[in-house]
Amino acid sequence: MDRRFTFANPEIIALLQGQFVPAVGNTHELQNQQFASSKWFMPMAASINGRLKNHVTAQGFYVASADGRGFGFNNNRDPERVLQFIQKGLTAYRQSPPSNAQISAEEVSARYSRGADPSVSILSVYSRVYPLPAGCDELNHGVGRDFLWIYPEEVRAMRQGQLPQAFVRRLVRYHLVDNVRGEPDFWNAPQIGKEEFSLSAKAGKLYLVGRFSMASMQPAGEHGLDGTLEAEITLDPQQDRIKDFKGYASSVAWGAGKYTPNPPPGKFPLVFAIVPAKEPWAKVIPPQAAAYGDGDYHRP
Amino acid sequence: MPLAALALLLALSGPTLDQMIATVVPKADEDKWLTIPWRTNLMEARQESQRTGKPMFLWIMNGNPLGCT
Repeated sequence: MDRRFTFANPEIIALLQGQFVPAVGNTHELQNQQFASSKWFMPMAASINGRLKNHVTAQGFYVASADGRGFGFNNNRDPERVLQFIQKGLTAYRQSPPSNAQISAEEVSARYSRGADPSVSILSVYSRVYPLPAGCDELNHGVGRDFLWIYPEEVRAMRQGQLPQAFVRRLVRYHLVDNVRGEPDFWNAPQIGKEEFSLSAKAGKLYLVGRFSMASMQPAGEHGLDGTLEAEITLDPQQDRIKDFKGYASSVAWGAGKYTPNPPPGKFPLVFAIVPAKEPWAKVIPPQAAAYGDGDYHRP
Repeated sequence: MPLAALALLLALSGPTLDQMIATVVPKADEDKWLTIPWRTNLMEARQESQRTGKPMFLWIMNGNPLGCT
């Protein structure tokens, strides 16, 4: 919704490009962890977002100044309302310019996210309801996104013809999920019914194929996925890194997760693409499942 | 069906891997939001805000908007 409508609006784009310093953040990192950015963000957010008194998520849009003052909070995605919110915030900021804030070099250079170790190979995982069933809710028209990490020891194992089970489990638990309509429920081990993958080598490339089947348990089978995956993998000959990865998974999905409402009725096609991440921010933004801490993500 | 047979079936069936991947990755008109120069480091954004006199616009989500969901 945000990407497809709010931030595709030409007036909003022009305002944010020209009149603001636009920035993004993850509540899981800002609210639950003690990065320097959390210590600045949370008091500012609490000063204008009354809901934080109830310890709920801080998600939404904020207009703020460097000295920690908030000029507006909004958690509505309607482009017209967001446009008005931005204009109002800009006016309020100009009427009350900030005082000079002390921002230390340490604060600026401090770690602010659980980004990847430089040795990690980073892939982008995209998901989409495709083809779209006729008449399904607008939320299903979006694209799900996440980053997937492959550790150097896993690349080393692949080079030796072994398929690292931690990688397979991570792929299934955290990346073959329906995140098209919002934050997905990750699968836990008992929800994985089928997880059969094999790796083979041919003409200098590796080929991964597999079948997977996952379903919720409480209530049983309320939402799930059942599909196949294939990938062509090229390893870097000099380092324990992935040089190229072409992955595609096709599945039949059903039902809604806790935060992914309004799926197409009945069973629907959900497809995935897995390719090398080219975006520079992939190095600092972790996979969603690693945002709390990468221990569980590393050893699912 | 054994996995080897599945691999053969996937290799022989329909469009190529590249074509199938192309159906999923975002199209240019789905990435207009990326024409906004989002910063990932809030402290750096603060510093820039102070230097330029422009307010910060923060997009905060359960999952980093540049990476997840």
